[in-house]
Formats: sequence, structure tokens, C-alpha cells
Amino acid sequence: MRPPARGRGGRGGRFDGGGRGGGGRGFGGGRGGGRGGDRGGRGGRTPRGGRGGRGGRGGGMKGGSKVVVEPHKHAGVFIAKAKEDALCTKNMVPGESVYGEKRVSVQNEDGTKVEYRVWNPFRSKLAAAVLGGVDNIWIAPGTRVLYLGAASGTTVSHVSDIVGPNGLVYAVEFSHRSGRDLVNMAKKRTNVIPIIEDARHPARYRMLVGMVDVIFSDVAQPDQARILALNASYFLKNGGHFVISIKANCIDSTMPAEHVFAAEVEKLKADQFKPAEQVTLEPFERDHACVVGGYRMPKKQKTTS
Amino acid sequence: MLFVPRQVALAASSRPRAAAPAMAKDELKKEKKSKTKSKGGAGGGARAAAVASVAAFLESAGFPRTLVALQSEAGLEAGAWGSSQVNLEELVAKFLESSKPAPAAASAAAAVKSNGQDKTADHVAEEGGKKKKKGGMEGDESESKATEPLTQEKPSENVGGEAKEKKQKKKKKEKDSSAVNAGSGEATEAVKSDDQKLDGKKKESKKHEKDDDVEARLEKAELAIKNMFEAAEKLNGGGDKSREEEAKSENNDADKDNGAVEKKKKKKKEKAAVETSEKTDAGEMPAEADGAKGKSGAVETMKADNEKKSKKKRKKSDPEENVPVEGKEVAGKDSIPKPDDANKSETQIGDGDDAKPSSENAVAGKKRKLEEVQVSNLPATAKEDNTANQSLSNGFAEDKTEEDSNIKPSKRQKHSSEPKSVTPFQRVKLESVKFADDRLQDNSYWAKGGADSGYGAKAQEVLGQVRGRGFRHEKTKKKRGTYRGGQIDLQTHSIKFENSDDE
Repeated sequence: MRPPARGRGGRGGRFDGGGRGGGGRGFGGGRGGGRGGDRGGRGGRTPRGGRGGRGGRGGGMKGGSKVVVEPHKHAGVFIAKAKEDALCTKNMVPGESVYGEKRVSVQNEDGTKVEYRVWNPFRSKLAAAVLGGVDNIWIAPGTRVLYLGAASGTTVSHVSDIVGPNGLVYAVEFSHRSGRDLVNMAKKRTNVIPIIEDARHPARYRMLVGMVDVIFSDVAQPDQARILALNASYFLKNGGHFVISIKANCIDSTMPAEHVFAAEVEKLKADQFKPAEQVTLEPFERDHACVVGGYRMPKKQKTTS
Repeated sequence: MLFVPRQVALAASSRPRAAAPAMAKDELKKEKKSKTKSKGGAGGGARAAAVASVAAFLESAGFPRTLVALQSEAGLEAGAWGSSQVNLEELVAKFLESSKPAPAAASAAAAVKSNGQDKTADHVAEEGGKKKKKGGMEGDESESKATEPLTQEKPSENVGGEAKEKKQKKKKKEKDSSAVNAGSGEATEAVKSDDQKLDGKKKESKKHEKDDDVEARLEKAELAIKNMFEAAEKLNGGGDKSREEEAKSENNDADKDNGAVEKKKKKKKEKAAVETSEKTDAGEMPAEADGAKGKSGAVETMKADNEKKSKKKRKKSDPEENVPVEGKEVAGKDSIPKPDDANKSETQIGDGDDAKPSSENAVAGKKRKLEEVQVSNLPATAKEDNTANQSLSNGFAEDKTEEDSNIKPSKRQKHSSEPKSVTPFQRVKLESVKFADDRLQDNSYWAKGGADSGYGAKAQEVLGQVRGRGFRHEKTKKKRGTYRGGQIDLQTHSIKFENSDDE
């Protein structure tokens, strides 16, 4: 189909009525637009999939008729149980899909509909950590989270779902390109505050961020422990918690990942952090580990358990 | 050069910076130290010893000051300061004598002199005479004193000859200083004769020191100028801290160590009585040297070497400034110090032989020195070129040297660090890693609890087979959302750290 359409590009040139180059360009743009529309149509289909028939494959997890959503042990996280399980979060903005993920809508007994978004562990390290069996992510409804390394906001959107309308997510991302998507996502989610700044300089956004309960760090930088400590010193409350995803290859690709993790844990300990647990992100990520712990924990810490 | 030097330079800079506080005084002292270090760096073991001795002597003189100014600082630092302070004093004295033109310097020198005189009054004219000798001999005497009294005399001879030349010029300029210089020259001559008899080796080393001393003199003169300006600023500011501190330190030193502390005072006193100082110098020198040695550690010697190197560089640039003041002799001296670094053994030996007679007749000695200098100029020029290139390559090193004298240390560190650079850069040291839990030694999926029936088991079967691009390819497929991993269990499979249980 497409190639012939291109052949008709000559016709497109007609529309432009200009030189060849300009016409070609204009045609390309038009084609792109057409594609986008096609995708949009597909996207429209996904919600239908939530209802039941996702195209030819009706037997998906959302699989039509019976999908049961159960709460995960982590508050705000849910498991959609059908033929296969899927991790999901309650969608703060029903009807909206942030990055093309699938949605599952469930009708409660009282007739109200609740929509959940499937949380893909291959896209989100936090989801990978949850599936990896982390004991506590400390991110729960109503908590304030400082998210370092928000990227395009895929995981941030799920964190936003978890903390809910009473919580707050400060999403720090240095890249303008991915920060653009982050901002667009934040436009629809009132509990997300996008910050396009370097996480190495928390002083630059200290006026935007208040005291937080949890810092999630996914910056993948050699000095990520220092970055985390710096931000924790600014914003993390005493007795707060951190969740850091460590990418071994970003710190020292010549060393075995396990040694890198151990070294990073030692670094964290030197910065008033109390690492509580570590879990591998395999198989969802290669040579990644997620470390969870507390910050400036009081002697009798009730929160640890 | 840049790669190794950067890291090395950073490390080097961090060391001196860490040691030195932010205070301007400290920086000045460091600069002085760096100059002394630079001098010693080029020389061999004899130089190092001489440098160490000099540093020790300086430390002995400076300790009280450091105590007064920076009591909180570490002992090493304090010692280093002391060494630098001695140089400062000497430099100040030299500068005052050599270059009266600078009004600020003159005023500062006058103030210093007044302080020194007041302080020296307590310690008698002998110390003053020593100080005077030091002022005339400056670096040479101090270095020689630090090493050994006898050795000191030897370098003092060479230095004395040079110093005499300088002094003569200065005398022309300043009537008062002329008498002192002559006296110091005579004293140095006598000492030289004794020293020569005692130890030929020491003489050689002393000669090296002398060459270094010449450079040191130039550097000291610069330092003295800087000091003078600083002192003037302090005086103007009303703080007068530097002068007051110096005076206090001098007084303290005089009380504690009559010999070392009084150097500054001696310089001032030198004008008053040169002859007495000569006699006293011989006697006091050993005592001071001993004290200086005890105070100054190996670290100081290292610093002194680095400082000397930096000073040499500075000297190269500085000689031009000093030349007009000192005249022909300065030019000869400038060329001499450079060869000293590279070819200290040869030139120094020759100088030592020549220097002895020169000490007897200052004029003859000067001529001989000039000749020697010419001979040494060839190697010296080559060396200078090398040094210039090095300085250029170092880049900011020159600027740093002004502040903290990082250039020379960086070079040395580079040499020391080169072997390090051979080993690849590692952020994580395998040896230092210790696992809190044995399970942490395996990050693979199958090592995790509940892996067989876990949600990621199916993915692991696929992703575990591929690496690199293949992994990314397979993972991208999983990202599309078609992955079905089976049942999600709510069990905890993470590895707990014991420290979390402590609390």
C-alpha cells in the first residue's frame, strides 16, 4: 500500500505547487501525519481491549469478560488477574494512556468504573523491583516523592497513580527532549511537578520542592550515590526512605555487577543512608539492582518493618 | 602529559590546598614553600638534604608564627609554614635592601625592621648578626644552617660571594646595607674555609644549594615584595595582622628558639652590626640547624623540593625583573640557578672549588661565578627550555604555582602517579569490596528466591540467552506489553541488610 502511495507523491507535489524539494518534504510530512492518525486509531482500540476484545487476540490478560483486579501488598499497586497476571496502577486520569500502555477498566459492584493502567516491568525499574519481590517501596498513597531521573515520565505516571491525588511527585529530569514528554504528562496529572534541572544541583530547584517522604533515584550516573545524598540532604525528611536503581555498567563496566552494587551500598552507608534491602532487577534489566533503605533513621525506627 | 597530570595535578593540588587554609597568609607561605621545594627538587640527595635542612630551619623560625596565626593547623602544616616564613623574612630583608624603589615594600620593610629590632633586642646582637648573615646570604645561609653548621658555611661562601655581589650593588644603592653585606661576606668566607676542610662532599651539596640559593634569592625577593604588599595592605586595613603576627611570632620564637625565630630580626639587625652576627652565626647556626631538623620532617623536605621547582620557574620569569636592580651579577645568577637544577653535580662541584676562593675575595668569586655560570649556561639553557616547555604543557600550573605551587608537585606526582596510570581507572576496587550477604554475590535471576515460578521466569529464559544488542532487541519486544509472566506472587525475595535490623 505505502509504496504506491509514495508513487503518488507526485500528486502530493501538486498540492504544494512548489519546487520538487519542497513538494517532497511536504509529502513526507503528510505521510507522517497519516501514520500518526493510524496509530491514533490503534490507540483508540486499546481502551476497547479493556472492555473485552483486543483485536484478534481476545484471550489477553484483559481478556474480555472476567478480569479481577486485586491489590498488591504495596498500597496503590494492583494486580490484574485474568489468564495471566499483570501489574497495574489505578489510573488517575481515566481514559488517558500515557505511553501507549494498556488499560483495564473494572466495574465495581456499585456500578462505578475504575480504570487501571498496566505497568510494564520492562519499561519501569520500579515495577521490576516490585515484581522482583522488594519488601517495601515506601511509595504509597498520600506520600510525597522526589523522583530523580524521570525521563519521559512513564514510571512517574505510575508513581503518580500510586500516591494519588493527596500525594505529590517531584519529577526531576535534565534532558529537555524527554522532559518535554514529562511536562506533557504532568499537564494532565495535578500531582506531578516536572522539574527540568540537573539533579546534581538540587539548589537550583530547592524553591520548588518541599520536604519529601521518599526519594526514588534512577539517574544511572557514576556519582548517583552522591546525587542521591545531595538531594536527600535537601529534601528528604529524617526517617524518610530512598529507592535507588543501580546500573552497574554506569559505575564501572569492568567490574562484576555484584561488586559494584556492594561498593555503592557502602557509599550509601557513608551518607547517612541505611540500606535495608537489595533486589535484582533481572530479568527485566541487565546488571541492575534496586536498593531500598532509610535516611537518618531514628534509633527506634518503627517504619523499617 | 595532560591525562596523567590532570588527575595527578588534582590530587597534588588537593593535598596542598587541603593542608593550607584559605587564609592569604597561608597561601603566601605555601608559595614560599613551593619555591623552596622547587629548588630542592632538581638536586640529588645532597640537595634534598639541604632542602630538608633549610625547610627545617624555616620551620623552626616559623613555628611560633604559625602557632599564633594558625594554632588549629596541623603540625606538619605549621612546620611547612615556618619554613616558608623564614624565606619570607629573608626575602623581605633582601628585597628591602635590593629594591627600595617600591614605596609599599620599603614601608613594609621598615615596619618589619622595626618589629625585628624590637624583638631582637631581647636576643642580643648575636642573633641579629646571624639574621644579618641570613639576610645577606639569605637562602644560602639558611639552607646551610639547616643541613649543618659547617656545611652552612660552605654554601654561605658561595652564596656569600653572590650575596656579596648583590650586597655590593645593594650597598651602592643603600649605604647601610653595604656594611652588613661586607660583614656577612667575611663571615661566610671564614666559614667556607672551615667547611671546605671538613667535608668536600658537603661543599658540593652546599654549592648546589648555593645555586638554588641564588634562585631562591630571586624568588625570595619576589616573595618579599609580595609580603611587603600584603603587609602594607594589612597595615592599611588596620589589621596589621601579618606584621603583628610576625612580630609576635618572632618574639615567641626568640623566647622559645633564639636562633630560628630571630632570623627576621637578624636581617634587620644586620644593618646595625654585621661583624657580631658573623661570629654568632657560626655558633648559633648548628643549634638552629638541629632545631630545624628536629622540627622539619620528611614531608617538609618533599614540599621544599616542590617549592623549589616552582621557585625555579618563577625565578626564570623573575630574573628579568631583578636584573635591573642587581645588575650584571643577577644575570649570571639567573643562568646559574637553572643549570644547578639539571647539572648540579658538575656545576656545583666547580662552583664549590671556585666558590671557596671567591669567598675569600668577593670580587674574584663573582668573576669566577660568572665564568662558571657561562659554562653552566649551556646546560642551563637546555634545562630552561625543558622547564619552559613543561610549564607550558602544564598550562594552569603556572597560575597554580602562584597560588599553591602546584606545578612542581604535579610533575613529581605525575612521575609517581605514572605507574598508577598504567593500571586502568577503576571506581570500584575488587579487593575492597565485601559483601554483607553471600547471596549478594550473585545478581542473576535464578539466584533469587522464587525464581522458578516467578513472573520473570519466562523472560529470563529468553533474555538470559542473549547479551548486548540481542538483549536490547528482545527487551524491546517485551516492552510492547505482550509479555505474560504468569502469576505474580506477593512474596518478598529481596536480600536484607543486617544493618537495617540493628535499629
